[in-house]
Amino acid sequence: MAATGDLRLARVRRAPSRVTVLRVVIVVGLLAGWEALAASGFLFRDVVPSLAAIARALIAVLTSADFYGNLAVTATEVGAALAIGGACGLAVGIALGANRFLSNAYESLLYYLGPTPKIIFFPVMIMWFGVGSGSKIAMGAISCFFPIVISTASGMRQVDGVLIRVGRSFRATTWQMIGKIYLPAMRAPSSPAFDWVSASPSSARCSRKRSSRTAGSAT
Amino acid sequence: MTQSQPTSRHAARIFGAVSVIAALAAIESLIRAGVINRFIVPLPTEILVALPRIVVEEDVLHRLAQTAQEVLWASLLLAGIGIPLGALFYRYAVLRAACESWVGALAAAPIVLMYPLFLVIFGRSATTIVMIGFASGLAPVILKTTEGFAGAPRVLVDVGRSFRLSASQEFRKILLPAALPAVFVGMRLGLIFAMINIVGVEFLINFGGLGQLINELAERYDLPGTYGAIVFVVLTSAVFFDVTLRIERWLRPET
Repeated sequence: MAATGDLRLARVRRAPSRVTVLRVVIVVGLLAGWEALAASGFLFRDVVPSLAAIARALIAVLTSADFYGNLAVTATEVGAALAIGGACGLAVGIALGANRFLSNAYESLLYYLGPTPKIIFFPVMIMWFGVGSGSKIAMGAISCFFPIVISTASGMRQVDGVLIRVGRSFRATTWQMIGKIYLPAMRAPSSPAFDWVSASPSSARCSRKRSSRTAGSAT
Repeated sequence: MTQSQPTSRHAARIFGAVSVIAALAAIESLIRAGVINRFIVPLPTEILVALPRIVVEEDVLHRLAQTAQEVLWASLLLAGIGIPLGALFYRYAVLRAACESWVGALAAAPIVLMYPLFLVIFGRSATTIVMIGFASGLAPVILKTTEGFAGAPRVLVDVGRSFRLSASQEFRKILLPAALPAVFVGMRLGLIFAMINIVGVEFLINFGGLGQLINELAERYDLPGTYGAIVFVVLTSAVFFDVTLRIERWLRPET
């Protein structure tokens, strides 16, 4: 059945120039609003600096060698967190998705822990892994574990039963079933979770900020 | 077959609960044996004993009320601003085409990192926490509201027009009822994002309810209290998640 909004959106997308013009107008409007706010003195100048000052600061940051060092550290932490949390999430998700008993036993626990603010585990992570990269990687791994395990378990249950029966009829081993049937078939349901957690490793970044304060107060 | 399925599900849940208790008992034994350092991981029994203590001494119920109040204000802002914005996106398809991807990107942005800016604008107060919670939950509310209105079946709208409904009647009698389930899904997602960020900012700026409690207990090195407070926040999140899920199922009985 046709939906009203989809038809209207399709009509608009046939005229991309209007969309581009509106986008430009919005961006220019936002920048002008920011500049007006900065010039008004309504807020402290340092809180809402002018666009020129922001551009100068951005150039200074991008031309600084420290920035690229810090970027590399963050990228490494995000990569390590994603690798650890993603691998564990995939393994547990596959186990839960493949086994109804395990799913009934543990999946509700994961659903309840999933929306918990992960930052609350940070004091514990600092105690376990110290104030260095370890605690941030652990925080990132915890943050990405839950969405991946839930998406993977859900993706496993959507795998076509015919494909599973074909794999079994060829006497595929567990690893072959995972590598040749399950993972390719659930690539679509799992990848948004990976996109999501790699796009928003906010808890790892928050932890980084927080731990530098903790380290500062400890010294 | 039909009788054995609920039985096996029940057995699986009992198995899950028993295995969690067994894991806690194993951790207790390892700590007592000195394998795990008790200055890093306290005894589970100590955490259990600490729960009533933090409820009484740390005034947990008052803190819970503070966090709940912040979540409530954020949810009112989300409903009052996010839903109309979603409706606006539906009404003006060109606006939707121009901004929908930006709003999607906003959902993935770590808005919580902007807390220093919010702190300077709103001060170290509940307003900062509410505003960050609101900003974090806005994207799903807008996107799901737009999706809900856009998903209204064309045939229903045509029926309404054949009865010469006015624009406001069409909105109230056709579009809004059709969009309501998706709007509520957006509100639920937005509230979960808001709550995660509200507790996170309370923790970061050491102000407010449950997040601040964990921060304070950790800085006092009250380990059983810290773990107990974490258990309390997890239980609160679970209850919150469960209640919103039940309301959503009540609104969408087919799911």
